[in-house]
Amino acid sequence: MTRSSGSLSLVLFVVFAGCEGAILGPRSDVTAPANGEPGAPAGTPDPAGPGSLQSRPIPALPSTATCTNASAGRGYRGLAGEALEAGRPDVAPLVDNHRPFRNNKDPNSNNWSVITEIARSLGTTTTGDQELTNPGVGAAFGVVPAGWYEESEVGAFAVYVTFQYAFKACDRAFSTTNTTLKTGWFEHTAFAPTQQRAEAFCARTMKAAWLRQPTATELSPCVELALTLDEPDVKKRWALVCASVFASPNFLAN
Amino acid sequence: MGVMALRALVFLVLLGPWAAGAQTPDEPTQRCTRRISQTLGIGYRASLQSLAGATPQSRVRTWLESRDAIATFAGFINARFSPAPGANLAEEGVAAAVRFIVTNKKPWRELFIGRYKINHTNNLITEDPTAPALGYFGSVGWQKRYLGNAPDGLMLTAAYRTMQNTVGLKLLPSAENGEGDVTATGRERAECRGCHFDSPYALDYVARLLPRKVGTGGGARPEKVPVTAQTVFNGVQVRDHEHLVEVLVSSDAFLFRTCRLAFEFVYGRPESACEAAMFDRCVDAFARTGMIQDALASYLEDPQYCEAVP
Repeated sequence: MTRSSGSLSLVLFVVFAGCEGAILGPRSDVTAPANGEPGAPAGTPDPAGPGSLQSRPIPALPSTATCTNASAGRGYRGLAGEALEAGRPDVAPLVDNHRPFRNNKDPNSNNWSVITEIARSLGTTTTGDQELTNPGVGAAFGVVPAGWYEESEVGAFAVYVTFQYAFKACDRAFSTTNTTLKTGWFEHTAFAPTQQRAEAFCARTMKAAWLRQPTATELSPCVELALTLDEPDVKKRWALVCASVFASPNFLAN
Repeated sequence: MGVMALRALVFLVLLGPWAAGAQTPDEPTQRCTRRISQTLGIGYRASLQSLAGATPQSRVRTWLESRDAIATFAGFINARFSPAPGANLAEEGVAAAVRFIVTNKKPWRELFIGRYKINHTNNLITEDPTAPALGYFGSVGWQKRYLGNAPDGLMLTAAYRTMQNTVGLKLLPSAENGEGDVTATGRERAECRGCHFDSPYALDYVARLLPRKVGTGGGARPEKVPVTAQTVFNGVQVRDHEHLVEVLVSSDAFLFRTCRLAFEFVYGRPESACEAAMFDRCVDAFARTGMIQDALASYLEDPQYCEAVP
């Protein structure tokens, strides 16, 4: 293994260690109980009957979840009298809200995509740069046929591809003195990492990528990575740190 | 003077809207815009620029009208209503019908009971007062796709899809159907009759209200036949195909199904028990107007939507 690939493996290990598994949206439909099955309908249709816009309110099934002041809501009955709200996940409200990048159109379009978001965060542009308009990057999140829809998943492949792409984009940004680039990086990336520089660099990159300030817990592993990476080329070293921020779940799902 | 003014103008145009005194919105606003634009499949940068000082959630109604948002939602509905992408244009009528309904701001139930025709050579839709009140269920492309394989011509697959699309019914083929006998006799077997005859949603009874499959192989086609009223849904007398769909879209189950779909589109998952209040607000909004835009907006405009992701 070369020295660079060793660094890459270490960074990816850090990235994966921060993940909580693949991010995907569950799906559900109403399952109709057949007569005689457990949980079968009560056998009486809604008293308001078909044709009513909405029948009288009925209480929802009891919930065992800790809803912290959240209302249990109303109950709903199907055409056979079955409780439609049955089977709702009994969990606290507004959890599992992060959604990964979705490329339901051209992965290279100016619409939402990993490529445009990385460029926005770095203050760069991919226009006219063949290497930075790689169609495989968006496709790593899944390519959905026209007129169709699938919830994206952030699997190992998408993380790896994003990391590789982000490394290239970061390295390119740090090697350019384009005045349109946001300030705040050059004063660090020209020098070897120190604790102070690493903290400033990580905070800056995370804020730009995640659109929020990082917590101390989030900042710490990034700083540690900058200080311990075995990469002699200073710019590449910073670019690896930079790429790890983009390959984190905080960037890949929002 | 003229040259200087021209240069200044070009400079301002190149700088874009931020040069006209507009400031980059704060980070929570950017995050909220990003979240909404990602859900709707619209351009994030363009959405951000269109804010012009307004909050992202105040722009939801406008964004819902955009061509990209309608296309994304149409794809979502198509994926929920169909087992797989269509093999040809004729099998992609659902997405076209959704685009037609949403673009023209018609009530959501019109998707299923509207009188319109789909031209399957280009999937353009035209209103037709002489068409049956069956929405895309009445299109030849949809009916051919779900002809099924019952030897007696009953369109069991179409019957199932009709109920799955409108009220979210979900049935699973019996794992014990090893013999593969799809005749009426085979469907009467104990492991099959639960869904085909004994359920309030009995597939065979519902299918008797639909057209029949005639012909075989590539020449098979749907053909309208006289039907007799069927008793389904625990005692409801249904006269014919149009009445069937009317009953389905007039039920509470239709409201529930629609708000569940809207929630899944907006959050990428079904609602939890603790999110019941939010769900009920969607049902109230949708029941009041019948517009899918109101169902979607009830979630997207809720302050919790953008606060949910710190």
